[in-house]
Amino acid sequence: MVRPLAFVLTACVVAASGCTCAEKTAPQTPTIQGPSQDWLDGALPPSVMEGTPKQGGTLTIRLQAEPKMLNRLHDAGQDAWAVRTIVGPVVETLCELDRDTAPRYRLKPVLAERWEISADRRTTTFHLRHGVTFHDGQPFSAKDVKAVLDAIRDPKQPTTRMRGLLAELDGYETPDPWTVVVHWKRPDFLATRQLATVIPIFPASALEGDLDTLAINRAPVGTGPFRFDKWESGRAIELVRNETYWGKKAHVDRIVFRIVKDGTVATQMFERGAFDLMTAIPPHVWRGLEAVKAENAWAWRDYHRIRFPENAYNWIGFNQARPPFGDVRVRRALAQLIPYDAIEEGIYLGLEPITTCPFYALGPACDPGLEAPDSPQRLRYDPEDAKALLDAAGWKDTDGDGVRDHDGRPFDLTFLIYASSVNLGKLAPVLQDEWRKAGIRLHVEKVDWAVFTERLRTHAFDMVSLGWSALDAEDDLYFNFHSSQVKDGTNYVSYVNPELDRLLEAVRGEHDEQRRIALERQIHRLVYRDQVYLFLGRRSALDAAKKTVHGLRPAINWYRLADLWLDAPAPHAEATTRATPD
Amino acid sequence: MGRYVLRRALLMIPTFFGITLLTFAVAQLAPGDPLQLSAEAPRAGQTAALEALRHQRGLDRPLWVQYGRWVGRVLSLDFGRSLEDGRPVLEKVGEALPRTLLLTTLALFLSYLIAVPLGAWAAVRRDTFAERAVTVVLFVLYSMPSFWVAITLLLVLSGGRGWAVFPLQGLTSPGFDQLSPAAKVADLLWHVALPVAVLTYGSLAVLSRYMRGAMLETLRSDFIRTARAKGLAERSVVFRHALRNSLIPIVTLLGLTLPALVGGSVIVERIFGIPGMGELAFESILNRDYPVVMGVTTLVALFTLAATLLSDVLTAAVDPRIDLERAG
Repeated sequence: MVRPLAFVLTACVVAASGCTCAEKTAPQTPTIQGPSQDWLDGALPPSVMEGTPKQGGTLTIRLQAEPKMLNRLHDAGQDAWAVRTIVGPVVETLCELDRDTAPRYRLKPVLAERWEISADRRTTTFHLRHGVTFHDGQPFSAKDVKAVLDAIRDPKQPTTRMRGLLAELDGYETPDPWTVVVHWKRPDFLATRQLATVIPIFPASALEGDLDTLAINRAPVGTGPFRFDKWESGRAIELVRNETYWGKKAHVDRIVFRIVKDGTVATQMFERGAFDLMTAIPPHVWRGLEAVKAENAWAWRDYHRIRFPENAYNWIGFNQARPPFGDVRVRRALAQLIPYDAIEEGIYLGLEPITTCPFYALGPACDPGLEAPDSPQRLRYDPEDAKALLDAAGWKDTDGDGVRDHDGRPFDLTFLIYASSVNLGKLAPVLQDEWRKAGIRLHVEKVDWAVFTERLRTHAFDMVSLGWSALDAEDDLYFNFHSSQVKDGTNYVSYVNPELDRLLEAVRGEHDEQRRIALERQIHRLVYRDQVYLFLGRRSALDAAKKTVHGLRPAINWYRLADLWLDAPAPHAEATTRATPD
Repeated sequence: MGRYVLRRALLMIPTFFGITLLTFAVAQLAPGDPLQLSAEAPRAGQTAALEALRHQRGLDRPLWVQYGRWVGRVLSLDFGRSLEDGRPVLEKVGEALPRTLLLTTLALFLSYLIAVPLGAWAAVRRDTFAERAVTVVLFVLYSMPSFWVAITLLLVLSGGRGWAVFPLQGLTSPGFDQLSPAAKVADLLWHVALPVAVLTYGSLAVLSRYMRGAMLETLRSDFIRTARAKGLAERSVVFRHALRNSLIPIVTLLGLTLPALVGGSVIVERIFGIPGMGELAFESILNRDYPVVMGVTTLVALFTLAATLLSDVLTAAVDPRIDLERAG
């Protein structure tokens, strides 16, 4: 019993030291061809889009989180990213975002062939596509759109999120099987767009009954180029090509989403070639692969690296209902006490450039004069200026204990973070250190996500850091910044400013694009001037695709899976055991 | 014996309610709200909608009413549905439990298989150099955190730059359904090798120390001296007399380790991509998914109670000196 054990142990030790020795003594390969510039930039070469598409093959994609359910109507189907990537090719919407028009992303017809918006902007008429059938063989018509809207509007159903999205919906009717007329309470520039691109169209028959227990929650039925095949909990979700798709048919036979939550494990599988499309590469792995050494060569040789800016950013917020955070001087001072360069390089590894803008940065809504990295209007790390501002705001160290105070109260604040965040765990001590030098005591409180969201909602915090992300290029930001959203909306920081309220209301009703952009830029400047949020980095998707994958075109709403094709479609990797890496 | 078992079984009923009531109260009193969590970013005017949903699901009732309803349903074996995805709790548990049982029973079997002879050997050879060396090795193993060992094993034995002998994730290979029965078993064993190793190594030290202690005590007892005195071969003394008598505390210990069988391990399950009971319990607690939390707790509570009873009965079975009828 003992000897085998001891043997295993020594074997490990020898092997491990053997490896390091070999590494040290092995002669350096004189010339390693390092990665190309495209590869370093995470840009896809034009050749990805060239060539004649081949049919067939299985495309394996890493999924870093398992969705709770695949029905986006349900409150539990709100893991937008996972649900949209998986369900997007299965369940279609009336329109989609047109990637040919990036970064504006205009609407492109899908199940609606065309649509009209009335002159008063309060009625949208959708003309539906004829001859479309659902995967279960039923024909698609206006009754299905109506059934979906009925389910959303039913107060007894857990569709509060979708109901919130369609808050401006006044009513709808279906005068004939191919027409849906939607009425809006107010002319809102986003309303039609959100209804058309977010609301999934299921067959009416699939929505009968209690939404909690519908079959489509785990096995969605739609009209898309792929049909749902199976979901093995914790392991994989699989789609197969819809051979009777009404539009241009997909190329690959099958898509396998492999659920691998752990980043380290996913990285190992990536190295072993388990994924055609590796998603959410951990930043340190992304950077590590850039080092010019032989053991990274597989990555440059076999994979395209894809870095695509998402509409997502991180921010720090203060509870402005609590003194002293309502004072803009204090917020601006704290913003100047953030060592931006150190954070950008040290924590975000240069992958998340610091932003100033709550809108989609690649679109026209951000004022380029402010968002430009070298803009003189940007706040920089400037402790001296910050200290002067704090003095001016009345926060001075009167008792000489090294901590600023005001009316006998020391400048103490608590940074509420959720335990699962790695980056915040690194950010907090950096800020603690910087702010202590400026006479501010920062405490850190870690709580789990459920507690965190409750504290946010009840405004029971001094300081938090969160990220917002959207799968669309357009947003009115009403819910984040309007004073009416303090009570039970997402204006968590309790920012109240009638001037911003007026702008946010104006933007919603503004249908003229140029005038709307002007308003949006005003909002951008005001939000930054007042440091409603202290803006941090803008996030990018970090993916890699095997060079055998073609037709890849990242967009704000991810890749279009029906467009992807494989160089050498491998026969179904079925019935092979040991050869496959999983 | 029969009467004793019956009385113990009846006593388990109040204990069971105590456990579930406590879990129910702790789960519900913890801050956080399942409905708010799933609605994520609330919009103005949504509070009323959420209140309506909360009412519909009975989450606004006083705790004792909710607990009463839960007990009522459980008595008819209805554990309710997950607040997360609407699936029946029993279905979710039924999916997770076999995976966990496969890992934990194998690990338990393996650790006893190794620890019992190892402990006996250590007692017989106590204070020799070899025994001390083994003790050191066992304690080193015992002190290594399992997440670190799991990741290291993955990197070395399954990783892209390691030897890639074992699979990285899951219990089965693609196309498992088409395999022959023998190949299925081989495939499963190949997949569980690393997770079972991680679950096993840590308990070796504890178990073998127990075994060693028990064995030492037995070896010092009078009947062993008698056995030696009457000229029995050392082999016979150790194996026939001492070993069997030293198993009593180990059997008791077995009863206490049984609950861990159904509990599973979050770390091992997550790293090796085998979503079992540990992961289910962990996720449901994070999501405040009360019906699932309660379902898992009930199962583990039942198992613990049954295991304690079983270990008492087993102790009596291996040790004729214990008479449950009279002692109870």
